[in-house]
Amino acid sequence: MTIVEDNESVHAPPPRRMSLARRETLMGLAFLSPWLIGLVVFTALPIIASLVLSFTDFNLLHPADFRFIGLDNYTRMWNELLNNGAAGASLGVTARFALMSVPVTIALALGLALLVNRKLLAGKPVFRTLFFMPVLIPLVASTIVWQGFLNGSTGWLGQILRSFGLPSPDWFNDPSWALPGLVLLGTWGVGNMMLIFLAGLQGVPTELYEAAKIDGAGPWARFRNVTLPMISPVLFYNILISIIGVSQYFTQAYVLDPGANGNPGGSTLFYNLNLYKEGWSYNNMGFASALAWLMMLIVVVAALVLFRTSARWVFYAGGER
Amino acid sequence: MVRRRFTQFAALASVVALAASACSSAASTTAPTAGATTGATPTPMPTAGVTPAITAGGGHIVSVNGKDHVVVQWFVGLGSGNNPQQIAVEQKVVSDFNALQDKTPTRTDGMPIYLSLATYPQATAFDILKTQLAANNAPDIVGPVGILGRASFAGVWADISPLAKTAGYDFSAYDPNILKQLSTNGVLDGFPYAVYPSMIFFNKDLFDEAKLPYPPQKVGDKYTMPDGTKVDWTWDTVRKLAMLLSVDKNGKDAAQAGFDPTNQVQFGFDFMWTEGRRLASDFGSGSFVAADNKTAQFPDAWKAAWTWYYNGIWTDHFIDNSTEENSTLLAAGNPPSSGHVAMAQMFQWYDCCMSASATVASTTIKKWDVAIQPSLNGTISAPMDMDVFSITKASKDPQDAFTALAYIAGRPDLSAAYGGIPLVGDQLTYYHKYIDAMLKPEFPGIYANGGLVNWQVPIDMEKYAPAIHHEAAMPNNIKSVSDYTKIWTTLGTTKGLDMNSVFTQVTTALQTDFSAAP
Repeated sequence: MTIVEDNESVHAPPPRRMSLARRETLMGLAFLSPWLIGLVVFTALPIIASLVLSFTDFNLLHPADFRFIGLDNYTRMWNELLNNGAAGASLGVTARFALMSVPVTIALALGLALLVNRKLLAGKPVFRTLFFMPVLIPLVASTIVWQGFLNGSTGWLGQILRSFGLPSPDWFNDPSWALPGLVLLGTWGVGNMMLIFLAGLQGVPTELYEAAKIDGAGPWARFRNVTLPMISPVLFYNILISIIGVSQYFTQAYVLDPGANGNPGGSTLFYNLNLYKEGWSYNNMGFASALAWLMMLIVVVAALVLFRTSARWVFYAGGER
Repeated sequence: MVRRRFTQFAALASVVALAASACSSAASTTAPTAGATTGATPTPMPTAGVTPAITAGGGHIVSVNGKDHVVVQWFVGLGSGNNPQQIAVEQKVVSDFNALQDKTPTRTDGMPIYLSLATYPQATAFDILKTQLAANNAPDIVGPVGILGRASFAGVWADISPLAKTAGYDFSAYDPNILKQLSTNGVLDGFPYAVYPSMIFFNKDLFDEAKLPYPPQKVGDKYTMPDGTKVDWTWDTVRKLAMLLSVDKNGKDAAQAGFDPTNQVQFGFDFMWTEGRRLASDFGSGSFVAADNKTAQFPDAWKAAWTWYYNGIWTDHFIDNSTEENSTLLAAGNPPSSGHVAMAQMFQWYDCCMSASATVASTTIKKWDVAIQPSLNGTISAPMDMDVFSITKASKDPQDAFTALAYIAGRPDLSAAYGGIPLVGDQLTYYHKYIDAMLKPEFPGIYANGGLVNWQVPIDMEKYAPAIHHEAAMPNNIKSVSDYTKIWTTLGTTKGLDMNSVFTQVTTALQTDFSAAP
């Protein structure tokens, strides 16, 4: 027996060495592991937990009493959507805001990018810095500043408008002006998007403009037929990011009304504000989780629609998508 | 080869170190995270001048200066108690208590209690406490907290009566009516601590400028109108007086023809940081829920209050609307401090917030005093804020928590720092001296020539607290409060409302909430 064992050891193959590719893969994974661990612990697990919670009546104050209630939260949500309950109303507010905010911020960011990309503009770095600077200011601080700026009584904007004999809206106290006020507030933070557009604009080959000029194209035709198609991937990206951003809109509305009632008159009851209220004021974390999953579904659908339609209007120079 | 292996090892070690640091918390190095009173492993605690807060939950054992202590966690933030001056006093109280425990432990096993303080800004405190409760990491003591703040955590608080009985603590010195108001469904789920009666704060300079006498400071005193007539101090008198004290940029008052409400620079009256039930209770005791605890109602006195307020804003122009309240003219939400409001109805604790440091206005109030609440149909109603300290049901060591709580409640410097009238009389003298010493540097004008704020007024007003507390729990309380508040808020923002329709909206919304109550 021992001889056999010796023979086996004599004829055993040499220890296997890992291939270079395998070793590099393992090293790569090792380097990625902090992020992967963070992703699993702080993102993936909470996402899964929220899905599980959405089928329960989990109450923050009485965590031990929770039980599975099947689709009750989703049924309630469906009813609120159909009957313009809080979920339906807040979804409506968010949709209206998206319709106003996304085009305005995209147009403004693109306009500013075109402006600071012009050859004739003196002091371009100064303007780029100035337009970008508001992005560095915390949202809470900027919202408080804008509250003062747009105050219907002593706000600067109102005073300027009145000095020209124009009426001044009472932005954040008038239900019909609160959302436009927030759109206006949002324009202050377009610097990031402007930079992305600027990078796109600077990537457009100048020979295309020269060729278009030789063909007799005016400024509008050049913008329409050269600039827009060439920056369409950037435009696509910015639209997608804007839609995701609107779906996460919370801080500004919460600062305006910490009671999370969406004042004035429910006009700023954003979807996430209602979600927060359900989860943290009413302690219905199960229902709040269901609301969160609906919003995720909406964003996924919106992103899919954008991707599906992108074939018709997004132009990739290399032909890749 | 060696160099490559070393690089790989270094890289892997870095990754492991990063992962380890990302997954651990700083606190875990100083305090245990598990283990109950029995059999827990003590963890060394640092020694410092200020008693360090620890993250170990209540009932855990920590080692301080080589000696085992049982932890009691004190959570501050749901109400008063988180401005720097108050935190300093709280830390002193904690240090004194811990020193006393080290000297004379109260537990039968001789192990001292270690009181650990955690303060949070009010804006986040509610969410933090809810998270702690959900994570089964509840603090032992929570407070000071008002009635509404406590009602936000229904079912979380322990009945303190048996704890008091075991500790031999006697509540007979407390007013039974106060104890009743502080109870929830007959259960004393909070340690009675302090009351904050409401009254009228008035700006003496604005009255002097208008050559008007100050509001009365004694119940029963009349007010002398500019024409010399002596009238009762009623809400109607306040309306007339406040209109005289509301001024536009042309110097006209709100009672004069040609007054321009769009360019108002001074307001006669303000309900400071108020809300629907509180304001309504100024006109009389009442409730949105009928005695059957099921039916929504809108008491007549409350209708009168809401109407008075609404007309004061939009018809008589002596109360600031929501836009004006948040304007820089009125200190962006702190109107009386701006010096542009003649009278403000508010709780006693507002003396914290009139100072120049608490306002963004270019001008600030200089000289002020307090007056009694006006009456309606001969009856004064002065809503009263109340603070309690509660012990959570989830506390692992409620009896030791009660010991610490009894000590906290007995410290006059702490109740004075919170600005409330102590519920036990022997702290009152200390309280008044403390408040005056705090206010004197900010308001030398008040204290010049021996002047004082008349603190007898809030003491007198204590007797006129409504029988039903304005924050008393209603069925489906959090939702009900939220729903009537949504409608209430429109009063300050919307001109031309039909008040009868408003009352109907409120009762309809509340009835829906009440009917949906579990």
